[in-house]
Amino acid sequence: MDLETFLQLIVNGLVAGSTYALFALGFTLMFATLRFLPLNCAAAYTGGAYCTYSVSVSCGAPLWLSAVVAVGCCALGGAGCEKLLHQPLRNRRATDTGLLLAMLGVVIAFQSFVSLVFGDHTVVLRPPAATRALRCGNVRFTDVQLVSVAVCAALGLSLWIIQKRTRLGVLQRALAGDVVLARTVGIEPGRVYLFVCALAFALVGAAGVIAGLDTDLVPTMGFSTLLLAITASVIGGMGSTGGAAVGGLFIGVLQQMSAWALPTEWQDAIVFSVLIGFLIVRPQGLCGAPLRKTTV
Amino acid sequence: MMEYLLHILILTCIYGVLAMALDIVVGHAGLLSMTQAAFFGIGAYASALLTTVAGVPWPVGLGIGMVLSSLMACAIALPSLRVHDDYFVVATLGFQMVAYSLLNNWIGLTQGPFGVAGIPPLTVGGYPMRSAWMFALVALVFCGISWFVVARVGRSPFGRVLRAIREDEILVLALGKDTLYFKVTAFVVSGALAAAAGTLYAHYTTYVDPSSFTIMESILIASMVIIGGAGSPWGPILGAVVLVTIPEGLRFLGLPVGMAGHIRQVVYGSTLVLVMVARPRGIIGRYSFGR
Repeated sequence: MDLETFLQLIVNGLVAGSTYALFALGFTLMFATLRFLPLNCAAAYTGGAYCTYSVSVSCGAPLWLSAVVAVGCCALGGAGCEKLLHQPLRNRRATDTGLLLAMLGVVIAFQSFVSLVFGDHTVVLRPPAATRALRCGNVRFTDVQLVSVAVCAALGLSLWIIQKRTRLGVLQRALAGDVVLARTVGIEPGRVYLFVCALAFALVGAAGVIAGLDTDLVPTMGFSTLLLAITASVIGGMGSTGGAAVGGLFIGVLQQMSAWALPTEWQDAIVFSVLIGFLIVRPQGLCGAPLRKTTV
Repeated sequence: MMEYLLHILILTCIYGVLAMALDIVVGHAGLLSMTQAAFFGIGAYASALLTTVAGVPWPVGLGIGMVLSSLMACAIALPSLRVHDDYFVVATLGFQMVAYSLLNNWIGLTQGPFGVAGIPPLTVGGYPMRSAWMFALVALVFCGISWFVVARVGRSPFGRVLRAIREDEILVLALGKDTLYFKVTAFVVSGALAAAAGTLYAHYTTYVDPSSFTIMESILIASMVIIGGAGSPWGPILGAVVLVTIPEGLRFLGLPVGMAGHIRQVVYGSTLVLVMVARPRGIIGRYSFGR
């Protein structure tokens, strides 16, 4: 591989990886705070993309406005999930398995609902005039890709600032660290959970919009990207914000590299083999805290 | 019409066996596995390829499928050395994805998305089971044997240790039990049984392709166990009956063709959510996934 191809693959990988990273940020934020696998994030990803599509096509709104509306809808959806689903399940002390199956139910029902409304075929979101090819040296990319990477970076950075600087962010980190301790010092989890779900869904929804602009929309996009985002979170270390970003970019680059070395259909096999490898060799990921071990 | 009812009966038997097999792992040992469709696929493909390409009799395919599944079950135990709970589910998910990718892309071996066609019917004592009646009988017998095996495992001291692991793994370790051995064995039994169901499926449909062994299929089988009721002898069967017959029943509502499949999926997804919120032990389960 010469340097040019290598750089091109890295750029392509970072473009794809930035949306995985954004998805993984939302996913891992919810996982760290609520302590279950929030698979219903996949619905926010699909929902964000299709919501942008319907607002911009049916109401004729400009693309940026429809994207903002869609992200807002995702945040509302997240808050709704917390109130109507997570809270009742928590009150029933649902086990990990129970929660997981309920979340899968949400994903399946939502995905089929989208298929019912918009059809199974792919839907194109980007206006054809918007895409312009740019080049830097011999590396090619489009303006849509440039903007999407910038937006992903900005959103990731704002999440980091929210977590470090705002009151709700501090409360979120306290709950993620130790629920019992957080409650003893008088932190009321309910409101923080609501905030976290809305924020995480908004991030994942934004990832869906951005991915939808670059590629196209299909109803199954949420679930297939969810699997990649889970892999990214595990590689980065579940619950670690920086880790999720690194993991997402890593998956993007890994996909491109494997597509260069092998036929593209082996991408999945390689990505998920890496996932299994990490779980065997280093389950805490690159930046995560060591896991609890069952030993006597 | 009779043929159609028998078809549903046979499908229910096959899924019933898959769900019962998964219940050993989910209900008794309390480990959620998302790999059941992969075991099912390994059994189906082993039978399909051995009987069509190599031309061996079906029991050989059955045996080799079960052995391959058992080996994969041991491989799944590797991550379980290090990880628990949600991480373990993620690991099984990874195995399912890799297995599906192999079935779909290793064209030299599996013929990829084209599938394997022309699988001969089962023969019992030299007599081929061509009619739906005969096959339904075979499926019922197979389902009965599996039920007996799973119930026997559940009642045995082995099953008791599995349930103890589900309640408190550290306590079981403290009693000097090698929990890894118990978990691996549970997986091996479950995987081998699922592979046997795969053999039955391959010889029934006479055609297999990778789309029958996706992650969604794994989720469906797990839903059968949990909606029916985990940890009880009849729960998984009941779950299979419910999740096979209700979607078939929706066919008769006269929904528009393009929408019927999606409406079925919406109903299925919402049922899953409602059961988990309203009755987390499933219909007749012994073990609740909530209070």
